[in-house]
Amino acid sequence: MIFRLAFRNLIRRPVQSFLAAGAVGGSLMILIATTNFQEGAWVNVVRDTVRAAAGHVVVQPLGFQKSKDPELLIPDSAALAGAIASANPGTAVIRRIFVGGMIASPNNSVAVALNGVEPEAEKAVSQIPDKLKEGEWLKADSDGEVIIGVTLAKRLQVSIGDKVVVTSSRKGELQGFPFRVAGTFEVGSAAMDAFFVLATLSAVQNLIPDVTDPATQVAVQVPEFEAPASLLGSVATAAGEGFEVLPWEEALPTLYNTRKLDRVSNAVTLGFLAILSTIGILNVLLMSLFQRTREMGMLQALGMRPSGLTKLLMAEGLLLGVFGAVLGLVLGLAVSFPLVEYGFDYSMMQDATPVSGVALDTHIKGIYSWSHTVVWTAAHLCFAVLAALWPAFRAGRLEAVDSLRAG
Amino acid sequence: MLTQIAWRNLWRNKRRTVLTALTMGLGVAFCIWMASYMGGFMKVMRGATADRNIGHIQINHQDYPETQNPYDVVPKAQSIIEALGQNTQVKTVAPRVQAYAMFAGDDDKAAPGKLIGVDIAAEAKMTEFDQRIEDGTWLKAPGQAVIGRELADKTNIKVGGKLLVVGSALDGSIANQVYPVVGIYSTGNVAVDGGAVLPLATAQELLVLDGGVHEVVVVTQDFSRIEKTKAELASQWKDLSVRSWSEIAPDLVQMEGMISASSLIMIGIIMFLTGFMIINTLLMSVYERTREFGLLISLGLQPPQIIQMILLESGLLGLVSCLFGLALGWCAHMGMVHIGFPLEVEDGKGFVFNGVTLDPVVYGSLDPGALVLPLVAVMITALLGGIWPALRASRLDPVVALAQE
Repeated sequence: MIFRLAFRNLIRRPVQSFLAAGAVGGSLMILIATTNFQEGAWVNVVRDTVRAAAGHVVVQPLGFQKSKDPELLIPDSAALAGAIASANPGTAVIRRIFVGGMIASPNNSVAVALNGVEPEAEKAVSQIPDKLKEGEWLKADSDGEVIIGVTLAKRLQVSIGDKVVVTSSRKGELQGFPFRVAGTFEVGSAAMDAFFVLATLSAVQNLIPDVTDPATQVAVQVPEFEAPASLLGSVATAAGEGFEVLPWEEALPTLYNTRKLDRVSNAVTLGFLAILSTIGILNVLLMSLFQRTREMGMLQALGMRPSGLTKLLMAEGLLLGVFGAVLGLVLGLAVSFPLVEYGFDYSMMQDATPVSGVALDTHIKGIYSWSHTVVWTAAHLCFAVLAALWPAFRAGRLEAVDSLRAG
Repeated sequence: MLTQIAWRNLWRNKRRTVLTALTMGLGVAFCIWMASYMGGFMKVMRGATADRNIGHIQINHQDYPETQNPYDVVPKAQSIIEALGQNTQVKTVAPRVQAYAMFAGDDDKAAPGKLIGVDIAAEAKMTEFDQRIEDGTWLKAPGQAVIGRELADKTNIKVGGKLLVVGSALDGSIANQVYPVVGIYSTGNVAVDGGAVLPLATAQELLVLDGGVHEVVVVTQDFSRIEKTKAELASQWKDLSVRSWSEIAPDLVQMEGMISASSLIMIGIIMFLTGFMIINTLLMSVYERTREFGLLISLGLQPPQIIQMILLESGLLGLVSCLFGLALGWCAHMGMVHIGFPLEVEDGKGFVFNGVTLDPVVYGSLDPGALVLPLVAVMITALLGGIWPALRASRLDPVVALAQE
């Protein structure tokens, strides 16, 4: 009964009701589409970066995460990787070694980050094999070869097949090792294209003769986007004492913090939009209440209790909220559809930004983030009801006699 | 006269006017807050890259920007520096030497990094490098070294310790020297903080550069005239590379572009939402006053005057919203200036974004130009929102309108 009355009251003023519901719907549409796009972007970024720059769980020498000291190494890394792999079937376990050094040609010498990788295993997770400009990716037996970025190649003035010398230090001794340039890559990030050098794990291990089979990182990856919570403990057990075992959130703090910062600033912005639309509903309900003061008096004179008027106004707010939410949900999903299906390429506007040493793809696709969609929709409904509280409370306190006298 | 009537009409329903102005004002205030936050963020980014590292304009050997080849020194650098010293547009000028080297201390720990040779006095005057010293002192004499915080952490070198530099000299020999470390600096630029700075002559001697420099850095008097000054300098030295900071750090320019694009989108969204509200408010006030409009029309008010009156009402509402938004936005900006916005960090260490170590708190910085857009957008939204209600009111038939209760 109350709802029918509320509904009729709303359709009596179609334009006003539509505009109020439109404010709710517009805000919800924007929230749903933005969230779906941003969450989609983060899913891609996190998936790519976790695979290329670390793993769902990484095993490192104790203290490495904090000091980044390249002298800290895991000895007998193949045995450790084997133990972890057999204890966690279904995971991919790959080893990497990180060394800082200088790379020199007859023309120039540049400080670089030298990464030793297992060619086959790395090919499955790294972006670089797909972004080769010239030459070929490393093979299992290409120990004398390096892959360098295009900017670095320009600075060294070398091309495929040319010789370079990599100098690194071990226990205070500097050693130079000759390599041949096997390929150049271009990932679109100035820092990576200028300072990133890849060689095979065994070649970099040769620079460290005093440790047997060393590695800096043993990374454990699962095929799914998120690893089961049990993975961390099971890897730690398999690895045993003397290592730090970290989830990707700790191994890649820049990525994790950037995502957190992005989410916080989005929540602030989107929350603000929701407040705006709430004030919009409040305004409409208040206005409609004062326009209908006389009518309210009439209803009271006919026997409706003050609480009935309160309920009527609340029902109007709820109905407006429902209309707006449905409108926003439909529009939001309609806008999300092309973002999810085709994505959006911002390479026109910006270079690939490197996060945690991985250049992000500039072509971003959204995902349907249902949990956010449900939360936003419910929040808008609640806001509409909240906005109705004040007008409803006032309606309940109207004096029938005064109301009837009001114009 | 019409303005006065419009103003009075607006305040006949105080609650509604205040609520509408509050919403639109909140929108403006939010845009101002965002501009302040983004401005502060960009200030940190620009400070760490342009102001404290790149300078405004750099002059290099033609091939140097592309290859960074240490042999490509600026020809006749001394005469260029003297000529720039005479130029009234130039505030400061300083030569630099750049190379990469391996650094080590007594601790057997070595790290590769950037080696910069600077004119002690000119560099301090230009980039205030001496202000970035956290421990010890700025360079005072040839033969000394200051090192970045990151390098100090990696190699365990302390003030008073020794820095071993190993690099390649231009004559083909291995450059290999030990210098006393007099200070440790922190600029926020990751590449610079991972390296070391030597006095110009010392670096030239180490690398056997024979007095050559790799870049001549210029800071101009007027930041807004940089591109013009750059063009003038480029025509003066046609066979050299002359670049402004925006060419040297294009990612910074792109970032500013992204930020202004996203604030534009934000303003658009807010105006779209508040547009609904203003249309609603004015429509309702027109409905309420149907009888009154009938009266006005029968008294001889012409439709254009009715339109004018309602547009005046919406314009005044927009104006009130702007004032409201400015006041609120100013408070928000002051909050950003004094309290700031926390950026998630760990161990009290700033978080690294695009090669810049950010402070744990970003403080607001507002370019007055950023105020224009949201204010103009509110006025446009208000006037556009007034059109439909105005047309409705002007088309009323006085007889029907007067017959309404």
